[in-house]
Amino acid sequence: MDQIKKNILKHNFTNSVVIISSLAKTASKIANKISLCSFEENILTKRQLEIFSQSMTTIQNEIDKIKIYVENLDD
Amino acid sequence: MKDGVLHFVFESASNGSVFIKLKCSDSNIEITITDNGCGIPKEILPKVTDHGFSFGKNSGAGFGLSYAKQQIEKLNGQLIIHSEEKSGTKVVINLLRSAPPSWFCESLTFHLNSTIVVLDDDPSIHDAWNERLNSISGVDIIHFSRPSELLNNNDSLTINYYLIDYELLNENENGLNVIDELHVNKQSFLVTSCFDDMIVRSRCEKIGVKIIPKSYVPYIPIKLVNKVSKNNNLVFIDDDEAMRMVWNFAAEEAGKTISTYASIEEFIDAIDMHDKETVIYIDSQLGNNIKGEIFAKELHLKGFTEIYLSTGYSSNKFEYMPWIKSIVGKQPPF
Repeated sequence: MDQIKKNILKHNFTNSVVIISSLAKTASKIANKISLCSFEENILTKRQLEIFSQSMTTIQNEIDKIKIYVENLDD
Repeated sequence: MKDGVLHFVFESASNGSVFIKLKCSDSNIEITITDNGCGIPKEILPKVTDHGFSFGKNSGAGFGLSYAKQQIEKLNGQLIIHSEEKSGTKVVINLLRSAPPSWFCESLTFHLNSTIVVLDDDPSIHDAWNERLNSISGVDIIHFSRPSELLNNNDSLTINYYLIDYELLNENENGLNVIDELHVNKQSFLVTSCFDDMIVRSRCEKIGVKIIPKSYVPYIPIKLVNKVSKNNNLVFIDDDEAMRMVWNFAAEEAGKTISTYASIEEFIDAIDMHDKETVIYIDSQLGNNIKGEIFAKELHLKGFTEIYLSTGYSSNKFEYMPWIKSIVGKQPPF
């Protein structure tokens, strides 16, 4: 693998770490609120639910990117 | 190259189906062509890209696929063929993605409630722009087919953008002359099939006008942005969509309004919406080898003073840059 590609992978890895940690914070605040809701009574706004869902999806995607980076390290 | 590969697959598909899939990442393009045809015998498969090798055809010269492979490898790409007899063939072409040329307009960003002029002698181009822009509420289009109509237009309307053809048949003026005459190079895009003409390209580069090839009109991404009030003075420029999402969520949570941009071009398109005191956070590595710190210097020369380099790298990695106020991390600072 050439140096440019390695730099890009490293940069993406660093980004993924920041993204996961920031979105995990955001999502966990909302998750705390969700835990206070009953099935019958939702106290969350539509926007909060949107943010929660987008955060979870993005976290999953970034985890996948990190896995690829780590697999490359093994090589 | 494309013909060579497609002929190869279509021929081996005989009465079956052919599927073409295109996958793009920041650094690669992968084209997968699959068929469910008769497949290629195992012993033949290693030879199919050999120059002069032909199989199962009466008239084949054996040049197509070998030429395609050669061209792909010249571009540092890869051509991989998988095949199983009676089951089908899969051809994968991997190419490195290169940065778009500087003359090329990749996408358009228009401000909400803007007026766009289209000047073209070809009615089909007016139709194409209508199709693209009519679905966007918040922009008005004015059509002209002759330069004199536009140059002598006395309407008091403020025109925000110009989409101008280069070759205007039976006219003395070409599109670039019209742009020059109106002094609207900063708001103009040259929409032309003459994008290969070096004279046109060099004139465009000189006056800072980007080119949209006519064939790209139906596909060019168009973004509509709100005019930012002067109080909303935070900007984040990063090519990573997820990172922009992080900053947008953090700003929303902190009760701040932020404008995020995926590229330098996107920010330049919206630059008039931001005053010079705008706090700009810019990523160092903006993809396609574009350095945020170099663009930051240009912004500083334009009068922006509050520029921060937002990077995952340690600040020791960078030399002193007087135009950068500080080097910060990628975490949103609010």
